[in-house]
Amino acid sequence: MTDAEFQTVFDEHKDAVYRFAWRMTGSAAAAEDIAQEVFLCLLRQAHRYDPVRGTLRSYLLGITRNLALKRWRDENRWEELGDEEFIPQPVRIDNGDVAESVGMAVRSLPALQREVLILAEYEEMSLAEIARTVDAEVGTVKSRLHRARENLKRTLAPLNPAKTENKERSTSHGTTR
Amino acid sequence: MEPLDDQELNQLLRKWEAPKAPSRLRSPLQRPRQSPWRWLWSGRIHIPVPVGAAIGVIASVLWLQSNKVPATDAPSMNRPVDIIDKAVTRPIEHPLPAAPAPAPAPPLESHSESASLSGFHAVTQLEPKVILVRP
Repeated sequence: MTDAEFQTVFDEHKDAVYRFAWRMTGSAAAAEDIAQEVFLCLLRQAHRYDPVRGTLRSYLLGITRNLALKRWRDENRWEELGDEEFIPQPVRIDNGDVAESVGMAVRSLPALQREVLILAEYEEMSLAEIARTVDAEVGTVKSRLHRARENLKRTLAPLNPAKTENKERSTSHGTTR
Repeated sequence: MEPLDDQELNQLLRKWEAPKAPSRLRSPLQRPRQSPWRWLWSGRIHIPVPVGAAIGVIASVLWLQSNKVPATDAPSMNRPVDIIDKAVTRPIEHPLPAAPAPAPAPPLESHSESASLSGFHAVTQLEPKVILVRP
């Protein structure tokens, strides 16, 4: 890969890599470090990318995913990475910032569910692409995505705008009477 | 509380937007190369815990051994030293403190059987003289 080609790849994919790392870690500084490391990996080991196995974007997001999980393991040395045991807790909407509450809910998911959900919902990758990126079977990815969505449906239930409006309306009617 | 349906969840998920990569995130090609000498000051190495523990144990064992003074190598100057007389080919025993007074020795063997090296000074310059005896 020539320098010019590398620069093109960097300009084209840096936002996706940074975005994914930011959503996975919840930290701008960590996302920046990870993005730097991803492109350093590509620069040093460009020969490891095989176009037959998938797009360059999914390859880069795969490296991002590995680095984010490595960081998570370093910070949570005694916690299991499993995605089975998770009890969804409804988010609190004290500050009224819906976007922040959604972010907190997604970040509270187990790492293996979180990565699949982010790649599917925000990076709009297909199940097959996600499976290659996270090095898992398509069926596994599908079930993780399903579990992640079910957990979020419960966690984010207090943020439902329609139901909140209905509730407020019924409360105001009750008070006026 | 009633869970959301798929459409409601999708609506909410769309509200969480990620920032773009900051402008300070530069391509590795644009970053100045770090000098290898600088690495000596700012570089970091990762050592697995078992390797680090083993190095610590080995270092402490070596330190203890280097500080240990062998007791048999340097005899105390105040300790009585056995003298082997040329005429008597066995080590002469120390007299016990509580032992009764020894019988008077014969004149030929009147030299002391044990000696203390306290106050003994080694010869600083040895000047041997050879005396030739002609038959």
